[in-house]
Amino acid sequence: MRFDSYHPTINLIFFSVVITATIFFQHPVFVAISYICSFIYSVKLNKSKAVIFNVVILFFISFFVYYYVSFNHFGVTTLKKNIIDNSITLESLVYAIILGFIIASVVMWLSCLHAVFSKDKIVYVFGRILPKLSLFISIILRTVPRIKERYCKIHIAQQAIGKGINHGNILRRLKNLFRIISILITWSIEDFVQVSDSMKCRGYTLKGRSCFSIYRFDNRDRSFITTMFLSITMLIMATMFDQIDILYNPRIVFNKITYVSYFFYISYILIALLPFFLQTLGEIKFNKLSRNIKN
Amino acid sequence: MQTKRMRIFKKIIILALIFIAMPVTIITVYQVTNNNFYITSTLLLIFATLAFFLSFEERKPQPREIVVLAVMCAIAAVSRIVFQPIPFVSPLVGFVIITAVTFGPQAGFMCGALSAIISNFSCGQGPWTPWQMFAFGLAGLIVGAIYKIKTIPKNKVSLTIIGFLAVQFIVGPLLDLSSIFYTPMADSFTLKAYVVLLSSGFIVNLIHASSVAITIYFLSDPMFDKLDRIKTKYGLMG
Repeated sequence: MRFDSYHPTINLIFFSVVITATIFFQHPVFVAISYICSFIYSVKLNKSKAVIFNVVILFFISFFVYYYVSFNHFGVTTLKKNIIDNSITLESLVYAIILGFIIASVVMWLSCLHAVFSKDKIVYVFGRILPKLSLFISIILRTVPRIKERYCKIHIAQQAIGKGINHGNILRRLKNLFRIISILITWSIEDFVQVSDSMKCRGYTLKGRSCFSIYRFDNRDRSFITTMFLSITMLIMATMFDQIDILYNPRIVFNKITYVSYFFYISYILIALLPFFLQTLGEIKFNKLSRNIKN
Repeated sequence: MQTKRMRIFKKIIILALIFIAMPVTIITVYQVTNNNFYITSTLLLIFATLAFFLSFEERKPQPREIVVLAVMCAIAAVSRIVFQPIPFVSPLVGFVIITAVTFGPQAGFMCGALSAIISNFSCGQGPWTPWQMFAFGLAGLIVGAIYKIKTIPKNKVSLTIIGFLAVQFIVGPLLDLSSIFYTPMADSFTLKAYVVLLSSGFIVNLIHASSVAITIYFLSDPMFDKLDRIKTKYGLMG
């Protein structure tokens, strides 16, 4: 089962928790966990496209680290001097690498969010609180592609009478472009009457209207949210025990890693990879069952 | 009866957002997140935007009003998506200002905020989305309010100048401020750093503002003609 078959509020909670945790946890172990998990999950969702994207991000990270280190010189351990005799320190290097990986993992989580959280889910989540606003947004989302379609239609028609944007010199082309835009705007605005009349005919202004949605909150969602909040509690405990705190300036200082801290790491891995695990398990089960059908 | 109670409830929420949630956020979140400017300021912006959306909800908009506003938002969003390949040029705020002058400041805010979020579906969502929503909305709100008092005659030249100034001195600086907050610069944020960033972003804002000014100069009169015609033809109120 893909993660987007779950309830939209669960998707929203998951991504907001994971992204805030990624931004706030500057401890190297947590950063590494978040980076690896987001890498795995984005590759799972977007296949080979994600691999190229993530490698390109790595290139940008190295550029960022070089930039950061050559402009920030805090810390006590000097590694070497650069061309203009500024010292490059270990602390600023480590901090730059950590920052780079945090930015990269946030970007990768956002790419996962983009794959899972479609536009209709946003409209649904808004619609619970602000029904009219969500209707408004859904009308806009439908109108944008419609405007593009209409532009193509108008352009073909204008081309046929010799007034397309590839006819004549530059001045005439601009004039034709403005003509097309004017037609487009008039058509779009004029067309709204049809939409609003059909809305009225279907009882927009009447009382007791309910909103249709294809989502429902079932037992699968309940079990997911229970597991997720268990892990969130563990993460809050980690912040209370100062397991995520680390100082980079002027010297790298952090609390000792004990046996208990492994529990926190495991819970962080659990929450970050939960959708991945569920999707993989679902696929394995699906393959097994489909093989049974063939036999 | 129930709807009346709901309306009172929503009004209370709007007031609570402005007078309780905002000061509480400034005091607590700023302390808890260890002087993190981005989260504190973004929460404030989200509360302000939410208050506007709730008041839109509470006004009970008619279907015709909603749809014509939605069409204007879509046109604004498309104009930004089309000009995306050319850096820093986006005529979005021009359309927002035209909408604000025709339909009032509140509609201007809605149009700016929503067209920002819609156009970001193809231009890329990110930590800048709430800021863009608020900045574009604010431009619509201020220009709409200026023309609602009727101190300035509503013509092409004055609208162009005000649109240019709004982008150069309201939208641009706000977006520059946001770009400090979500980069590593936020650790050592001072007023001086902001001034340096403003001076380096001056030309970017200038290009953005002039694209908006050109849009308003060439498209405001035809757009007003079209919208006024629609208003008289179908009996829309301003």
